[in-house]
Amino acid sequence: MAQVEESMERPANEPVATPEVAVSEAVPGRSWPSFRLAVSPGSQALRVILPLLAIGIFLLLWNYVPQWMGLHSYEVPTFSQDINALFSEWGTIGPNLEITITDALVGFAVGNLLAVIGAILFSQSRLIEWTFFPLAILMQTIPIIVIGPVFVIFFTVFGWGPYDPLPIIGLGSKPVLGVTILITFFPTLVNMTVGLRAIDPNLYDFMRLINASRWTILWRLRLPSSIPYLFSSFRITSTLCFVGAVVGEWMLANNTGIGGLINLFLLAINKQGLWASVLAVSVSSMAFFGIVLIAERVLVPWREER
Amino acid sequence: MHDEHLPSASQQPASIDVHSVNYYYPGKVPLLAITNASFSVGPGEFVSIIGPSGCGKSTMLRLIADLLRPTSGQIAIGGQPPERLRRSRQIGFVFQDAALMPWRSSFGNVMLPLQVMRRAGKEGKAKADEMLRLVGLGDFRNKRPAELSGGMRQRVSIARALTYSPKVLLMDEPFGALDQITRDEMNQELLRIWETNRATLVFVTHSISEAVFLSDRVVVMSPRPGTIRQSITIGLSRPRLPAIKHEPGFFEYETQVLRALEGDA
Ligand SMILES: Nc1ncnc2c1ncn2[C@@H]1O[C@H](COP(=O)(O)OP(=O)(O)OP(=O)(O)O)[C@@H](O)[C@H]1O
Ligand SMILES: [Mg+2]
Repeated sequence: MAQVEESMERPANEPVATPEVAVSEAVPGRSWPSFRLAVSPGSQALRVILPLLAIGIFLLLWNYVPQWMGLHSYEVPTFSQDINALFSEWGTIGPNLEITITDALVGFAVGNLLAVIGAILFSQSRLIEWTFFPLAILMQTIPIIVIGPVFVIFFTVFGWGPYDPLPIIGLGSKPVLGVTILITFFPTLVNMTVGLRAIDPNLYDFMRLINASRWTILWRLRLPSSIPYLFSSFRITSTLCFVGAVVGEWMLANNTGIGGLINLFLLAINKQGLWASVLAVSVSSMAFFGIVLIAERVLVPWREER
Repeated sequence: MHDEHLPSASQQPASIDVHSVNYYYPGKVPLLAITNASFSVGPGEFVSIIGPSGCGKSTMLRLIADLLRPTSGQIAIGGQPPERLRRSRQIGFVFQDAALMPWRSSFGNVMLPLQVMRRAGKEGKAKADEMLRLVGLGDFRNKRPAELSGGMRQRVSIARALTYSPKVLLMDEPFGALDQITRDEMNQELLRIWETNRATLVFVTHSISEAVFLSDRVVVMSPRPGTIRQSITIGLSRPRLPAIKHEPGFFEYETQVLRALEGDA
């Protein structure tokens, strides 16, 4: 195996990499003793009961407050009307929800994969990082409402009609995928770039001491160190990808997906249907967020909550 | 209790020669950390480096380990440049904060150097387990660092440094963060381990009594820019037991080191 020597890539007396980007939280995964408060079984139950209670109260308020304020139910439909609509309109909502979920999840997967590859490139070359990292931050600040239409036009100009199924996966629509990939790409790129650099400087020195190759340092030190950062990004992008999918479909305005349905229901002044379809997406994205949290617990057991 | 599987030192310990070394930390205003430092450590010798905070003790260890390169002067380990030894993985290093991978178990951490060296087979695993037993952590092989005490983490770090039988072992205040009781215990353990694995050992510490208790020789450094002020041979017999700390000879050595630190030796 080629022993590309990391220590030789920089002056030997350069102080060892410390994360130069300020991170808002303590470096995750350090093996410091944690002073977590003892969690009794009772408070575990509270952690389930309290949020459910909050959601319940919110739904009750939604159900009754607009009426008390004298708003008519066709202006702001009650929650129970929305639930009813969800069932009565399921024939329309169901298939479109499927399209939206596909756009969101495929975008999530592809966007994150590309971002991880990008971050690895950044971590291997300061030059690449210096060149492109500011651009990445800049891109992240452009609202999706602005960049979405650019994608729609871009894909249409290149003759990929909005409804062409993705040839490889066979699902989803390209312009919307462009939006969901984009929206998941940047948070992960930024987080992973920080994570791949935020290694324990002494561990890095130990790897150099045992003459570990650049590849070994990446595989055995940088990547494992960055997994908590990856999951921090997943927490954000797992819901963002659904927002991206709906906004993308809505901008495309071709009446597919939940975003398309929103247009239709708005035209038909069917507010129950509108809220029912939004509810369907919210529940789906929350479910995905939950899966991400569970995956984090299973895959990053060394991460100490502080 | 773990002495039935004494590891045989497969490597011969090597001498260390530091000759008129200067080291500047680079920067807008380069910082002279070490100036005109010369000392040597014989093969299999236990030498402590002691000196005030910021005098360049860690810098000195990093120079010996080839993690830094001297600005001028030479360092040789067994007559060879440190880079040669580092590349052939013959330098062990124990950091003050253990520097373990939090996602790996004790066993996984001890296996790390062997995996990097592609010696993670059956023999390597047996070696890692043997080292864990040597440092008294046989029952903790599957625990992650967060589940261990500070002293235990340092033991893992020592086991990790010993798995690949380095010719020299460098320790940078390994017990500095431990309480006095644990520290005394670890000193005792370290001597036991060192006596079964006679590597050349350079040990950095702030504690005079620790230095005197452990070492064949104590090298005293001046405040920054660090240079070698004096080298004091500790003529106490081995094996050393805690009771030795109450002998008058021990006090005399302590006083001698203290005088050297104060600069009026
Ligand atoms: N990476 C660095 N860049 C610049 N200066 C440094 C760096 N590391 C250490 N120094 C400086 O070099 C001098 C020696 O540092 P060193 O860490 O070797 O001291 P030390 O003797 O180990 O101190 P301590 O006992 O507190 O650990 C100090 O004045 C310190 O400020
Ligand atoms: Mg130090």
